[in-house]
Formats: sequence, structure tokens, C-alpha cells
Amino acid sequence: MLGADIVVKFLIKQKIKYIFGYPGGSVLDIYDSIKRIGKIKHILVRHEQAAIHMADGYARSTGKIGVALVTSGPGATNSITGIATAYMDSIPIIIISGQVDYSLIGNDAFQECDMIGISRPIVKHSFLIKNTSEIYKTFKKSFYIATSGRHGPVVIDIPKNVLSNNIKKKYFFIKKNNIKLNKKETVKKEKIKKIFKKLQKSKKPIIYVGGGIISSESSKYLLLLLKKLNFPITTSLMGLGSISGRHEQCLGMLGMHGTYEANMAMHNSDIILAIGVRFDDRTTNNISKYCPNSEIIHIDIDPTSISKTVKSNIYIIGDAKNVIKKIIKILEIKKYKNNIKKWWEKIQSWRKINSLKYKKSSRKIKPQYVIETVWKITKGNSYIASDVGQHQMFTALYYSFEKPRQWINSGGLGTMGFGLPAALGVKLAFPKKNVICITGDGSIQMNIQELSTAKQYKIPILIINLNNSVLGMVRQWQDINYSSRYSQSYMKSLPNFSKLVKSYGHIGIRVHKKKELYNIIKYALKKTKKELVFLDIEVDASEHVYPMQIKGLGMNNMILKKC
Amino acid sequence: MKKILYILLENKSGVLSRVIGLFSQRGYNIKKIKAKPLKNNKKISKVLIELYKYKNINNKIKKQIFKLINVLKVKIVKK
Ligand SMILES: Cc1ncc(C[n+]2csc(CCOP(=O)(O)OP(=O)(O)O)c2C)c(N)n1
Repeated sequence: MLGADIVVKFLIKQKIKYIFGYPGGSVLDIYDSIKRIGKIKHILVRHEQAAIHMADGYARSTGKIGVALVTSGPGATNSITGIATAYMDSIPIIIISGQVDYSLIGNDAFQECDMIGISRPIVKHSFLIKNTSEIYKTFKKSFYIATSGRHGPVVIDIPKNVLSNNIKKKYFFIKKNNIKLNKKETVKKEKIKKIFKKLQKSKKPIIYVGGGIISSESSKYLLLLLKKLNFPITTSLMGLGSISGRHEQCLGMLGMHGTYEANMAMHNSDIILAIGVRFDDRTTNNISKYCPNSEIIHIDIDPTSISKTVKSNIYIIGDAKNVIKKIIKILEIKKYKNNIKKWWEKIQSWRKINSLKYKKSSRKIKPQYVIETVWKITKGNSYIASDVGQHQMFTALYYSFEKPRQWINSGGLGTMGFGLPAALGVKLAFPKKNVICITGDGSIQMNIQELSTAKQYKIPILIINLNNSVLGMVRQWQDINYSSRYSQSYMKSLPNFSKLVKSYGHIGIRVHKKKELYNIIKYALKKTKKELVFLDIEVDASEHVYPMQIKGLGMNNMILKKC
Repeated sequence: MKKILYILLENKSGVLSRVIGLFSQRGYNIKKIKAKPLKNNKKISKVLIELYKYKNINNKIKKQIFKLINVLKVKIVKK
């Protein structure tokens, strides 16, 4: 069998529906196989970075592996930002990159680059396939690695001759893979008992969850745990949707732009039950001032996450779902009881501050108002992909998600240009659902060429551009930290977005009247049943994202409004 | 007393660079490194790494290295 055919047949066997990519000399054999064999749909992007983001969006929303295909050299290097994005958020994708003939490697051959070397720090693992007979085995391993333990991207680099070679002997499909993995699950009974005692003794507990809840599919059990414990809960940016944002025990997001109640509760807690989080610096503020009276119970699948930035007092290395189930069980058997009424009263007093309030009187359209309006219309049930900047934080704060996997955003790397391609990936996975991309005038221009891909495959999403005609988040920092010296945060040459979008064959609408907003969004959502709609909304450029923690201080030191 | 990192890994191309990468990413400068296949099993290599005095080998890097797919065993040995 031809090497390239083994690749394609493997993907079909794994029930991969879409492959996102861009052709080039070294992968033409695979492209030919795709054409000959059929059965698998290839989505032709306009830039390789977008192919990775699409596969990523597909993976984030479905929980399945996303697959991308790029050619050697420039194709491979273009994919790097996408791979790093997936790596930082532990998203399982497979990147198949072409390589020059094996005999030419190291000769500075045409379109050669050391993909394994370049991608090394941003992959979970990578393979260079040397023989056609290794293709199947390597793919099998790669799929296993991407979705086992802590998920992540895997690069498979395949030289052209390996793809165009034939294997003569009858092909043998291995069943097992002999891969060593960190299987050190330490879910011991004594530890669960110890945790139980701590929880029962606690007077000021809080649960803090992140993306690990989503990737381990433990939402359902988290809900049971919440019910049993009656603790408050806060989520990281990546954990949004792991529990309904409107759940009465949910304090919203924590961290740099977290709510007042979430950060205050963290700071004043005596126990933090942290599940599937990695204590990212955007969620902790200054480590030396971090939650001074709290003991930390940390549950994570990745042993290197334990005590990485913040020391944990008790930890369990294991799948969040398994561990939560075990904790629930002991709560039932030992008849858990606790009185944290006073703690809840304190929390309610913080809640009353309403740190998300903003001035509504202005004639200008406030970005917060746009997100609230989107929420009103979709009731928290839409898939929302965002780019990076103020609009991302506004969305995280003002759209309360109902379910996991609805919030698609680049948390760890903060990649501008992620939103549009990721949203297209989501829409392909869920053609009947509303998929909205919330973006900014800076971010959308980083991968705007994908409007052409959306046209080719008729992928009708709604794009909401919170157009403040500045790099809003950069400007906010310049306001706060650089005495409003706006260095390069202003874009004087923005395109006429609605015309631009129309030239790609979509619907583009400029919105500048506040009172029209609700109806236009409603109309646009209806239209997106069939067509891509781009709403270019003129929002108040002077708006900042608040609340905001003061850099270098504790969780509790926050600015609540513009001074 | 010196702490030396003792690593067993699959003897495949690129594996050593993955290990070394973890050090360079953290700005560590390696003082001594020794790598060679085991006498009784050429498929497995033994690697010994020593850092300069001011940078001690710690558990964090040990865990990171163990996370690499081709690494079979990691130990900190004192000398
Ligand atoms: C690829 C990339 N380059 C630079 C940045 C740094 N950065 C973060 S937010 C931001 C401004 C975003 O502006 P815009 O997309 O217009 O959104 P707004 O903040 O105005 O809502 C920049 C430049 C980034 N996150 N990603």
C-alpha cells in the first residue's frame, strides 16, 4: 500500500470527518490520496495558522481530535502559532507536516525546515517517520498520546519519499501501542479521607476549577459535588462553562479580570479545592501574597502541575472525573455536614458590590452592553469563539455560559487571530447550532482571509466585531501603566469592514445606533442559518475592562472602575 | 555534595534534544553531560547531567523530564 494511502485510511478508520489544511509539494501524495479515496472532507484554508486553529476549534467544541495537514518548510512554520495555542490550553490535535525526502534532510533542501526542532517546546510529542512501514504505528501512538493524560498537540513529520513509497507485504494493523505514560494515579483512600476531614472542618471553603473539568468531561459530577458541599465555586477563564454561569453557588471568573466576589473569596478562604487548574499567573496575581490563610487541595492529571507555582498541601494526581466521584462517595458514606452560613453571608456582601456594573447612560454603544444583548438573545446557549483583547474579557465576564465546550478561546497563549478560524471549526462540528465569533478590529485582521474559506464551504457563522478602532487592551494598559502615552495602539487605516466582508460574498452591516442593536443581532442570527453575517459595531473606545487586579499585589487588591 | 540527574531513555534520534531543551528553556546551563547506551540493552541510553553549583537539580525538572514520552526513568543521585 502507498504511504499516503495508509495515512488517509488510518484517518478514515479513526472516524475523522474533517481535515484542515493547505497543499504543497511534499504532501501532494496525501492530497492525491484524499481525492482518490474520498470519504474524508478536506477544508482548504487560506493560511496554515488558520488550519490549526480550525482543527483546534473543532477539538475544543467536540472533545474529539482535530487534524491538520500542512506542507514542509513555510507550511510548517506558518502552523507554529496554532500549535503553541493548542499546547498552552491542552487541546488534542494532530498536525501532519510534510518533509523533504528523507535522504535530503539536513541538506538545506528546497522547502526544508527542521519541524521537529522548531515545534519541540510546544508539542506534547512529535515524530519523524523514517519508513513507510512505521506510518500506521506512529499514527496510532500519536492519537493515543494526544488524548491520554493531559491532552495536547502531536506533530507527525513525514518525508515525501515515505508517502510515495509502497509497502509490498500485506499490511499488518497493530492493535496495541507500547507507550510509557505517567500512570501514577495516586487516588488513595487515605488521601480521600484526609480531604474529607479538611472539607468538613473548613469554615471558609472555595472550589476553584479550570479547563481540566472540561477536558475530562466531569461537569456532571462537579454539579453533584457542589450540591453536596454547598461551597462557592469560581472558574478560571478556561473553566468557564464547566458549571452554569448562573448557578447560585457560582461566583464567576477569578483572576486578573475576575469578579470582586471571586477574588475576595479566594483571598479570604481557608481551603481551596482546586480541580483541573494550573494556577496560571493570570489567576494568582503575586504568588507571595497569594491567599495567605488557605490550604490548597490540588487535583490534576499532570504531575508537573502540582506545586508548580503555588504549593499544595494535599494533592491527588488523577483524572478529575475519577477523583470527584470518589470524593462524592465519601461525602455520602460519612454523612458530610458543615456550617458555612457565615461565609455565605460574607460572600453575599461582596456580591452586592456588583463589580460588573457599568455606565449605561451614554449614547455610545458600550461593549458590555453588546455582550449582554447577545446573551439575552441566545440565553447562554450559543457557541462563542473569541479573539484576544478587551472584547475577550468582556465576553468572559458578561456572557454566562450554560454548558462546557461552548466557550472557545485562546487562554494560555492569548492568540489574536484565533477567533474566526476556531469558530469555523466549531460550526463544521455543529452545523445546526449558533456559532458566534466575538472579535476586535485588531484581532480580526490577523486571519480575516478565512472569510474566503467560509465562502467556499458555506460556513455561516455570526461575527461580531467590537470595533473601537484601537488595540483596546493595549491602550488600556497604556492608560493605566504608561500615563496614556498611546504608542502604536491606534490603527488609523481600518478598512470599511462591511464593504470588505461583502467583497468576500458575505453580509456585512455597520451598527452605530444603540437602539438598533437588539434587533440587528436578532436579525443577524436568523440570517446565519444560511449566510455568514459580519456585524461591525462601533463601540465606546474609552471603555476599560473592570474589575482589574492591581499588578504585583494579592488577589484582593482590585480596581473596580476607571479612576 | 552534588546532585546529578540520572535518566534512562529510549535510544532514538531527537530524544536527547528534548531533554536538553527542558534545561535551556529554563535558562539552565549544563556543566557536564554524559550519554551512552546501556551495555546489556542498546535500545536504552543512560544520561547523566550535572549543573553548575548555583543551579541545583530539583524535583520540578525531574517531573518535567519524566513527562517526556521516551523517558523511562529519572532519578536524582547525590555524589
Ligand atoms: C498575535 C498577538 N499579537 C499581539 C498580542 C498582544 N495583544 C493583546 S490584546 C491586543 C489588542 C487587541 O485589540 P483588538 O483585537 O482590537 O481588541 P480590543 O482589545 O480592542 O477589544 C494585543 C495587540 C496578542 N495577544 N496576540
